[in-house]
Amino acid sequence: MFFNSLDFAVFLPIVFMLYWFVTNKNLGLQNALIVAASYVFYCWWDWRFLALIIFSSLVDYCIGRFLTQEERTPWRKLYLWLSILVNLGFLGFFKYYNFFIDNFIEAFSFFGASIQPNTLNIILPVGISFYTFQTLSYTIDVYKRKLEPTQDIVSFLAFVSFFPQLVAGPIERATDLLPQFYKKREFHYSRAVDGCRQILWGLFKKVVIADQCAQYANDIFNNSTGYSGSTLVMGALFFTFQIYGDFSGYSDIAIGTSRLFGFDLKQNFATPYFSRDIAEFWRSWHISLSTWFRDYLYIPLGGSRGGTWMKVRNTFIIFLVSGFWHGANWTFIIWGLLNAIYFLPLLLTNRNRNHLGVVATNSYLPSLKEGLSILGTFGITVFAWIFFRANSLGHAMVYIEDIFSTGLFALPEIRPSDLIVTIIIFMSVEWLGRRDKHALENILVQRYRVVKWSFYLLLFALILVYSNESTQEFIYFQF
Amino acid sequence: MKKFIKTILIFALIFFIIDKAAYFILVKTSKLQSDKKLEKILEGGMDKELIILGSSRGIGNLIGEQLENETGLTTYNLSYRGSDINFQSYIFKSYLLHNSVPQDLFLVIDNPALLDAEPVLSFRYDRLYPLAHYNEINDTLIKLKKHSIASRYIYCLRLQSSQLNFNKIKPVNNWLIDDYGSQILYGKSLYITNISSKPTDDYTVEEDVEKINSLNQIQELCQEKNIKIHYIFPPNLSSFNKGFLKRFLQLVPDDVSLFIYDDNKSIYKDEKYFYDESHLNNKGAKLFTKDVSDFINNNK
Repeated sequence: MFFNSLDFAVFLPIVFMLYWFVTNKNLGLQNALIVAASYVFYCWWDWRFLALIIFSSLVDYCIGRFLTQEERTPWRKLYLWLSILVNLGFLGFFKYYNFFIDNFIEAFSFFGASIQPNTLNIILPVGISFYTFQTLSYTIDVYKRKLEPTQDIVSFLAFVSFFPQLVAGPIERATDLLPQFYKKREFHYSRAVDGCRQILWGLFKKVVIADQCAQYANDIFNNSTGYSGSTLVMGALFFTFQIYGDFSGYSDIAIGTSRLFGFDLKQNFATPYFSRDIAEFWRSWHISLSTWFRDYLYIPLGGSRGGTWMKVRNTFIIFLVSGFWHGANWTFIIWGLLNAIYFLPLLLTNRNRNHLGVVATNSYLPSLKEGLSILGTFGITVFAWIFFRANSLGHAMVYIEDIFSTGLFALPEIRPSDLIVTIIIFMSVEWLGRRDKHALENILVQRYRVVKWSFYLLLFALILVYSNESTQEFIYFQF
Repeated sequence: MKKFIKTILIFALIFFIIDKAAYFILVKTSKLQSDKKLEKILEGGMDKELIILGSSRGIGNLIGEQLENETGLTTYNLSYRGSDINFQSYIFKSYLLHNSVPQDLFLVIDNPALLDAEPVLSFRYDRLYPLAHYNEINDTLIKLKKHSIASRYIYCLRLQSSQLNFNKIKPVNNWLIDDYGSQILYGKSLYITNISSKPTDDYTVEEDVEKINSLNQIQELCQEKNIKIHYIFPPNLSSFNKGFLKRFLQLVPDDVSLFIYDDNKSIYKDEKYFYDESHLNNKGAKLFTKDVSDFINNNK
């Protein structure tokens, strides 16, 4: 079930009503409703993979229980590795099996050996990369004794399958989300209204920005050899806004929906395109994944504690793994590598934590220096997105070559003025809301109701109008 | 909770009222279209004796006014550029629903693309979107999964983003649709390619079952309403596909009224009568229309 579908528009109010009016007296029943609703939500896409989520949840639930009872370190380690093997085993099989087989065949054929391909027609279960990391965080935290293992299986199942964030995050830590299932949820008007505002903004990002940009980005990337350099730059720019609108839009809808049910999820995006350097970009883009890798990979590998070589090695590892997490294609790995290369100079000169605050905190506009830094960071990010979007490494290389070969300074063949104006307005609203958890959190909130509501009604109408042409799935569903 | 539900309901109610403004946008933008054929069909009262269905080869190769003068039958060209047989069938059904039954129907055949599963020709949704304020059109779009079922109640869901731009829609290349529904092409395209006078027997396209069904539906409707159907094969500067003709004849009755252009005539081999390899220009269209008129007059 997609957030931008009529199905979800019917599903959400039904679950909301049952949650607050039928099951509200009993916490266990409320959690059971969340599990049931989440499973229905998932089955809407493909019921066959529901068993995978249930199995994965049960394995980690049982391992959590075993870890409580077991004091011997070797056994505890064994349980931890069992959880890692099961979870990453599923992920590896469904997501990376064909990639490894194809690359082995290519590697062997390079040395003259011919191997019969044995690839399988595997469907990638939606959300597997997200819920796998979520359940892994639980087992690792229990192993490290940072978290008491849960005795309540319903809460645990609800934690793994919580429908707002099941298929594309944010990737919640067990330490943050699981305890929220133990406590009675109170309904707060202001929180629910803010949740609605965030859902509205998320839908706008997805339907009006991302899906419109997708039409042009797809056209330009799929026919890249026929376009001038300036049009190819436009294609990369459209994809840049598409992926941001798509993924941060999903996160906004997920967080907003959770708030309607009395849950708080992590902020996943903090206006990343206003970052002054690539380190700041990575602190504000897909925050839940970046911090997951930091806490469960970078720090266990030694983090920044070792010498320069250790820091460089660990940085490359997390960026490469992050790229590979996005998909079984060399394009994602090179995208990760490029970001590691961007990050390296900042790390080596200890400037990777220079910009911890929000840009232009006390002013309306950034200074000239800040503006130039933002533009520079944005430029290198757009360049990296070419690899992320291209169909193959060869395609990415040709795309980049074509940018510089013909008509880089000519008027682009594709320049939809309506969309460009919409993107400028969208980014202006994002700029105004850069200090908040989402753009609409405080914008116009203090204004007269008529002004505020007119704006919301306009957004809502635009979402409906553009939804007629919106056929794009969320990009991150494929990861 | 009460306050929240009240707020949501008030918001929904205000939106529901404001949404009605979208109806006026729909009506206004429908007036900005250069092609008003479908609207004429829906409004009814066209009541022609001869109607023409087809794609660009129908709209540009047959001159409605000339046909009317030469055959004495009131004529309207209901062809749409780029339309497939599914769309032509839809137009025909709509016509019959709102207008009196014609005496004759010309179905201009796209040889060899008529039944091709590849989307060379398509269902012209773009002609339906501007008329979505008609419930009938909206229901069709719902059936075709282009509009949500909620669009029955919410007008915003019937709007396309392009309709928020209130500029008059100009016809492609300024080729005007005349009062008889024809859209004559003038001059010559810069690119005339693929010229081959040799007929070919090679017909290996993958056929679309839905398109075969549409062809059958047109035939059944004609039989049911006692409409005489004539299949017109317009001239082509590129090769004539005999393989397709053979296949086509399997799908129509034996006593079919078929008009195939005479490929022995020098005009149909002369580039100066063509806009491009598969479309006649105004000079060619006049001569071809005359040939078709003669065919009809001889078979009256």
